[in-house]
Amino acid sequence: MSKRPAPAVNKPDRSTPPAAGPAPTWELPQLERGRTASGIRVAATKSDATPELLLELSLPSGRVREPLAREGLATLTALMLQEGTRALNTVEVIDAFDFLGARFEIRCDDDETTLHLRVLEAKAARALELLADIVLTPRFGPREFERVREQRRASLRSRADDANAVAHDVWARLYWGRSTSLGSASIGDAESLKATTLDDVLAFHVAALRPRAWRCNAVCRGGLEQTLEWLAPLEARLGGLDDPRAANQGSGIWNVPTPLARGRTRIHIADRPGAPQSELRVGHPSVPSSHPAWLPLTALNQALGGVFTSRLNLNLRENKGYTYGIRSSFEGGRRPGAFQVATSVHTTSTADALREIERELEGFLAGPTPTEIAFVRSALEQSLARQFETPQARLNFLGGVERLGLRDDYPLQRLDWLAKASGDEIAALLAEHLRPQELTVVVVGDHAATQRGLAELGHGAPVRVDASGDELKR
Amino acid sequence: MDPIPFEQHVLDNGLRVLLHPTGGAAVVSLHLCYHVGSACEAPGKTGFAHLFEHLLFQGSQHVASDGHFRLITQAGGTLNGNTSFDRTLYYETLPANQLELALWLESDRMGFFLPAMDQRKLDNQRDVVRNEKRQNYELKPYAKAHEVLAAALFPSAHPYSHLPIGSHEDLESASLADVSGFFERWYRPDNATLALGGAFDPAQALERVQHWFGEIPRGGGFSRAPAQLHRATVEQRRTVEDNVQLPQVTLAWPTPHLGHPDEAALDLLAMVLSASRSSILDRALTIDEVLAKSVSCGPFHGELAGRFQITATAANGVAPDRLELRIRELLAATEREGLAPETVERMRNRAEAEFVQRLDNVSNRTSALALSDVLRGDPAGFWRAFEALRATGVEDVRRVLRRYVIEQPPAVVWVVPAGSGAARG
Repeated sequence: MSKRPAPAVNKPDRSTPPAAGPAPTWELPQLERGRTASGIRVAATKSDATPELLLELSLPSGRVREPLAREGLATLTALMLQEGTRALNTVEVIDAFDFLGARFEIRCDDDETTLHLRVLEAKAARALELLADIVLTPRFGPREFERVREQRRASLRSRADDANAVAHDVWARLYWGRSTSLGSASIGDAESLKATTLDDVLAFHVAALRPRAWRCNAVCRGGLEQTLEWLAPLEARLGGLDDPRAANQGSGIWNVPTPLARGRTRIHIADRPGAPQSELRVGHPSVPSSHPAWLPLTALNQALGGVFTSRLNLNLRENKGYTYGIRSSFEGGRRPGAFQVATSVHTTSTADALREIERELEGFLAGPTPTEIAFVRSALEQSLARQFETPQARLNFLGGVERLGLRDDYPLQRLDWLAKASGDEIAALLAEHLRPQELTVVVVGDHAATQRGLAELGHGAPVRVDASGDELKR
Repeated sequence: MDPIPFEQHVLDNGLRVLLHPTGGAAVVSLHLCYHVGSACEAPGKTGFAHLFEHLLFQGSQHVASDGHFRLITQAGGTLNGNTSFDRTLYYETLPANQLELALWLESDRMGFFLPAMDQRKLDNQRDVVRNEKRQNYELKPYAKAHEVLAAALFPSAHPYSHLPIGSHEDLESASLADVSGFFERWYRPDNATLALGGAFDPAQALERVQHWFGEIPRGGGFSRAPAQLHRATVEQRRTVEDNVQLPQVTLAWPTPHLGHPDEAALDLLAMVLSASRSSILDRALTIDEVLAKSVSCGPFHGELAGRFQITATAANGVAPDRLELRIRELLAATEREGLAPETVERMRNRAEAEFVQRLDNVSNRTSALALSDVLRGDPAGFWRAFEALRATGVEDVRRVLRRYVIEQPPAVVWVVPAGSGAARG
């Protein structure tokens, strides 16, 4: 224990927030890019925080490439990639990663299947050898396949237990429809699972073995140069895979399904008798991240529903007490993502909450107040000082830039827009991209307890849907 | 990896201050931990400590009702709070030039909270908390089991027999008098630890802490229940119906408090049983056979007592009794046959990697210091616990398996599909 400082002579002045000192200096991560000889696109940035390698290898086997009637194939293939290699069985692969203290997992999104690795640099070579085995010589055994299918049957059966998952699935079906697998749950359904064979899995994976369409993101102390060295043993095994016909396909968007236009506001309800709360999803199609409006919209959304003190949360939580929390977002992505408001509200407040959401969206068309704009500018600008502290944070930044095709300095680009935009410009942008009269509304909740209130909102009687989002026949 | 460097001070009013300067980083993180949680709640007042945490974000004499969130966010920071059985933690992480703002906000609510409190704020946050309970404990599948388990595992007089979220009924009855009584009793500088981490000069930071917190009067007379080693003598069984398709089985045993010599071995036991897909329970129940959709194992060490818990959700067509029986067989076989040294070594490696990763940021390091000071009475206690884990061997793991799991009857909670009547229990 040290000597105590002398008690303060003067009482502190608490009447106003104390002034901040000079802002700390910080830098955006410097992103380095290259390609391996076989064509893997590599992006890296340095981090000195820990002696670790964080690496993501993305293959072009996302959900959009699933054939029709094979919904769920991408995630099923990802599970099968975790079921052993030619040399090692399921348990041996897991034990090998555990022995290295390495974290390894595989995740799918709309466009890609990504292998995530986090390992001490000293163990990185062996971990990458395992990763290469998983990609190039997966076991894909029939016994393993049966087991994975059995597990998936359990997941499908319990999917509808979770109101949040149901809201997600119903939204996806209403948003994308049935003509793309994006309109289904990522785990597919009982029929698609029944139809899926081990040959489907193999074909789906083999179609993604095109190194020119692979992307690798990494963070380590040595940046790009060191990453390329670590990739060399994998690279040496890719010789036979360089199919020139695949060269032009790149890792870009496979197809661009168009979100279904919805016209005027409609309410859909998936019934959960006795549910204490209603899950709400409210929104409409919006722009992809490549659209020039996307960054500005994400900035403006901070005032609407992006943070705790946004209009939606202050009203529905801190004023009305309808919910534990409510947020909105312009989802973006490689294809037109949604503008969406998401919350879970007390059953008895369902219609009132929806009314307030609509009112807030209408009110926001006039644009944020000057105070709100100043708040958003300050929050976005100041927060940059703390956003790149950990290797994972740096990887997330790098990953976002690469996946969405943003500029390396997009946070500054966004701030620049906000500093220059006039009130008229903002209002025009919102008039084009925020459409409170054209909302798709999903309610997952007690139909009997909420239908009367919902019908009184002036959008007609709620349309009843099942847990997949398909309209129920009367 | 070297231990986290820190300085330790105590102000005249009893506020404990920990300083963890990091040099270069552009951030500063403040973690203020009050030594009060749901274990301190009087009968009929469950949920109060957590409700109170919400109220502390509703402003104070010099801070507007949305001031904490607005000012910290505007300054580029993040913030939140959380409440457990034993303590309530408030924290913010900001650009390094905003330390003063955080000190002003935290000292104002420690010293000048009550003048800003009113019935409307209480009513509003009561509604918010009741929605939090509905969302996280009623709507969420299987979550009803948490409350039932707590009551089955500990006798009703035990402070851990109810959860921090509390009951709707008790939340309904919370009054403004309860609010001021709770504040006066517990929210005192000598019942708290303030930890600062990040880019600052320690001498200067200490002077600023003294400046903002020095005038707040001490409290004293904080009485709380002593840690007690509770042994279960009778198997407790409960069955809960929920809107789920697949049954779920939870087995739990009382274990000792945080800082007990068996803490590390229990942590390692949980990892050996279920940290990885190749762990004993996961492998047997989801790979060798398909009896479970998922299985998890969690040790909890509280200040007064602990819990060792296994939860498994059944695979299609697997009844809860079959799943439970298989889990118990696997535990017995593990105790009987012992563990391979490589298995324990793998889990130690994994624990080490996770420890290093968790401490890769200023906020988590500062938090660990504050929590460790309050709950272990030693800011570096979490580090010593990690070193103890590295020195834990196969026989230690086997011994705690025998002592707490095999030789003690469990509390068993089944969650079954509503209306299925799959009851034994």
